[in-house]
Amino acid sequence: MFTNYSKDIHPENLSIESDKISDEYFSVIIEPAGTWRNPNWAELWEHRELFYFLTLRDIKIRYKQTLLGITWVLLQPTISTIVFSILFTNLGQSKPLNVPYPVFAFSGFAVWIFIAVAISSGSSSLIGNPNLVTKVYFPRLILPLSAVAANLLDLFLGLISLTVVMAIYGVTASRTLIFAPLFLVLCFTIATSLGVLLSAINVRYRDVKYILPVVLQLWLFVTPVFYSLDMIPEETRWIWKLNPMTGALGGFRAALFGASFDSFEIAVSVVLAGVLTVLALQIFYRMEDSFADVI
Amino acid sequence: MSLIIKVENVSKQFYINSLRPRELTLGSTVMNALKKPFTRQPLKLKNEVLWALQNISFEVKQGDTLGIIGGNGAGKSTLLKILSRIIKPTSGRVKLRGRLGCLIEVGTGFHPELSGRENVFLNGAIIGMKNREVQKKFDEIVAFAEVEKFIDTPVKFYSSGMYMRLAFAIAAHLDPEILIIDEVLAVGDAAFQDKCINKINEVANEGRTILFVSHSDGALHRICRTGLYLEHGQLKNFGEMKDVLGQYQVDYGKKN
Repeated sequence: MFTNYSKDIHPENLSIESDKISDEYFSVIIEPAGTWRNPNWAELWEHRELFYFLTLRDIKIRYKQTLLGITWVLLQPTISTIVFSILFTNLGQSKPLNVPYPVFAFSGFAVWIFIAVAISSGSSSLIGNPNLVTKVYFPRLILPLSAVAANLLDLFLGLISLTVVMAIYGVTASRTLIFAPLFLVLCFTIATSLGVLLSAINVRYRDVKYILPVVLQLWLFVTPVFYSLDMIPEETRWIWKLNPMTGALGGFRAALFGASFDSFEIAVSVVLAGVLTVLALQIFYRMEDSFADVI
Repeated sequence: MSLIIKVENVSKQFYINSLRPRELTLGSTVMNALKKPFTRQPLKLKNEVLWALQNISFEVKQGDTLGIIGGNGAGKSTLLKILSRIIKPTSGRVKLRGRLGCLIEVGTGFHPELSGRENVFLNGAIIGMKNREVQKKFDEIVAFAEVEKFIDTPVKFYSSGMYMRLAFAIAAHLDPEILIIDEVLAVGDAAFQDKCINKINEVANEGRTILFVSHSDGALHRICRTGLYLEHGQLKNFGEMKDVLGQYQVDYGKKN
């Protein structure tokens, strides 16, 4: 009945004149995984609406089904500030950078908590959305980027409450305040690059999930967030300055409170942020091809 | 008609890491350690290689409707995933011309806490629609899904039928030059399934190129002109749908 078929298919016989068609004719060429490559910025830009909707989703669902909702954003730095204020007032350090300790601590925690939460939400952005990775195509970089960006709202609200705390303690911002956004961009760059890097590693090695909270905790203690660098003995201070967050946060505070900028710590921070970004993108793109195979 | 997809010698290899069953239990590991305490007992990973696709080559012309058939594990989904750029081939190349839309699963990225409306925009963006496009077609999508009354309700309160209808409705309004569809798309009760198939047919008649994976002979006959038959990762037949389907039915009949 159905005999009209050939058992051996020779692809060569099927192509009519297609071999003459050059690659430029096609808009997409899919090739085996491999080579190092740079991000396809044009393709990322084409998917900007997806980035927007994923960011919006992350913001909308973050505090769904919680009693206090968005208040959590303010409670986290506030609680940390209160705890450390009690601790540090007893230890005698009362006026770092010539501002009352609670103002100093809050300015640190508002930024630090943003960094820590952004890195951890970035790191779980791929493994937290397996369907988006295995069922549909778009540049995967969008996922960690939108997960990190969704935390910008928290940072924004944290900064607004910082102005309230400053007003309460009668602290006025310095004229150098205009430089503060630059240091926030630096913080954001560090958080984004680490979020991107860890999201890719997390696909293959779920160990990230267990190590990250510990590392973030330790990082907090070796970064001048709730203490100032003045408390560190002068001989060992340079070690602290090798930490990229020291310069980013130090620069932000110096701009805000009108202290002098430490060009060494800032330079270290900028260089390390640049290195991290390049490294994160390269590793991400190297691993991207196998995400759907191993997730 | 011009060439729109060219698949050249595509192969895909999967590694299946499996522990040897003997070493999987704690008891046997302990026993082995007691018997030979000084030999190391490494957990041996056997790297089994599976060729999901082997040297697949074919071409699709613009406006063609290609049905992909084959038994379970024949490599159909792997082929779709390579064409839609979700996974990379191990060797070979695929060349495409034009915008490609891929519907392997409906409702990808739906979030239960978000309303129907929010999910339409989110899912639209995920499957590759422009925001402007979704806005324009929004009423049409909602009407197609028959969920007008619940569009501002979180989808976690939807019945599974409503959920699937809304998900399909969005997918059905994606109109790229090349459309890749997995059969699981036809969802819901018989009436809605018919509506789905009709919609796909409608898209096909507009001159779009469609790649369709299905086990349903009826749907394949209605939608596809050309057929591609895969078996154990190899191309078994490629040609007129009725011939390819005929061979598939003969083979299938033999095995049962």
